Amino acid sequence: MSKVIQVLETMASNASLVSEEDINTFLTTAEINTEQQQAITAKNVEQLAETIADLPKIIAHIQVLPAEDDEPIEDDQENDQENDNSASSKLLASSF
Amino acid sequence: MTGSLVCVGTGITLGAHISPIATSHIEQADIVFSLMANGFAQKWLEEMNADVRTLQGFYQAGKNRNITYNEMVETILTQVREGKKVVAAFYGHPGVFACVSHRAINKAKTEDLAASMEPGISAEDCLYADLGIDPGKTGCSHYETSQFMFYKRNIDTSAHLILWQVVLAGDKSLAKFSTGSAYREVLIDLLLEHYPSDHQVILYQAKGIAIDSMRAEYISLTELIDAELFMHTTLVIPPCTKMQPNAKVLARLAEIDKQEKRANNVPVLSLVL
Repeated sequence: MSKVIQVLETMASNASLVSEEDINTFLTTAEINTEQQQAITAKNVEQLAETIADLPKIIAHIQVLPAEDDEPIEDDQENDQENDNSASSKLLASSF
Repeated sequence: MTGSLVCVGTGITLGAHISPIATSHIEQADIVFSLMANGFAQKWLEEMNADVRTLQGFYQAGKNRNITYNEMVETILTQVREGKKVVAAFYGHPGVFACVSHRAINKAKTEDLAASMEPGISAEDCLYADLGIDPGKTGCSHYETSQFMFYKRNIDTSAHLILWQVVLAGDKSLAKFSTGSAYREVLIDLLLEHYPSDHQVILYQAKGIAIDSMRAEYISLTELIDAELFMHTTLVIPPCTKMQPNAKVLARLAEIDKQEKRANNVPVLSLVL
């Protein structure tokens, strides 16, 4: 595993890495370069991203639609009642 | 060989939120399809399995997301039909505000293919922890923002109102990654029918990686128009009114209490041998 990703994973999952002092001690033993150490210490996500050459790009991550199908939403006031009745079948079923 | 699909959630914060069973599914899968919220999480996932395929390529500005989601589902199911052990890994919870996993599982089941879901820690879970909101205290309603705008809702101002994907407020095209201030103005006007203009609302973002900061920015409702919003920004609207007692229901319950009390006051007869 990439050392810097491993560091992020450890920082997020090790309860002993809470104080700044503990994190700094951990970072000195982690096998990451100085630039990455500085970015992590400064909590600078953009700077850290720049140190990883092959970091995958994320375009979007949205996964929900306002309605289940792509039919246009009726604007006609006269169709309000009909819309009210059909709305439940159009709504996206999302579980909590 | 029979194919299978498991949709798993990787949680919101890289490394902190994934469950042991989700990790195991990812590690043992023939193919892992992924939709992660940041490059770090994608890279982390790619190091858990030798064949991780991102679904990012299906997203395109100007393309109807309904088509995008159907293409993602077909791509996932094609491999299941070929007999592969497939995992679809989504950030957060795979079934919360996430239609791809629901569609894929439903379709797989109609084709008699094995399909299931493993939960993950969602942004909603993080929100309750970070903002100190207990949904059981006054109640809580959640809506996708555009859905909230398109359909008539009974807004309960004595409960929390949480609007997801506020960056896409009012997008009927389903083809944008953000909408502008004119769209937001419609949302604000809708909310102003129920909330005062100076009502404090919260822009919330959970942290994606350990060094991220959680965002909990308090602004007035009208300031929303110029606020900096991202895909993962959630609008939290705290209650502005107190819960009103339902006198009719309370009276009925009091009557039942009275009857029960009367019944309990009847002397207990015991059989003495």
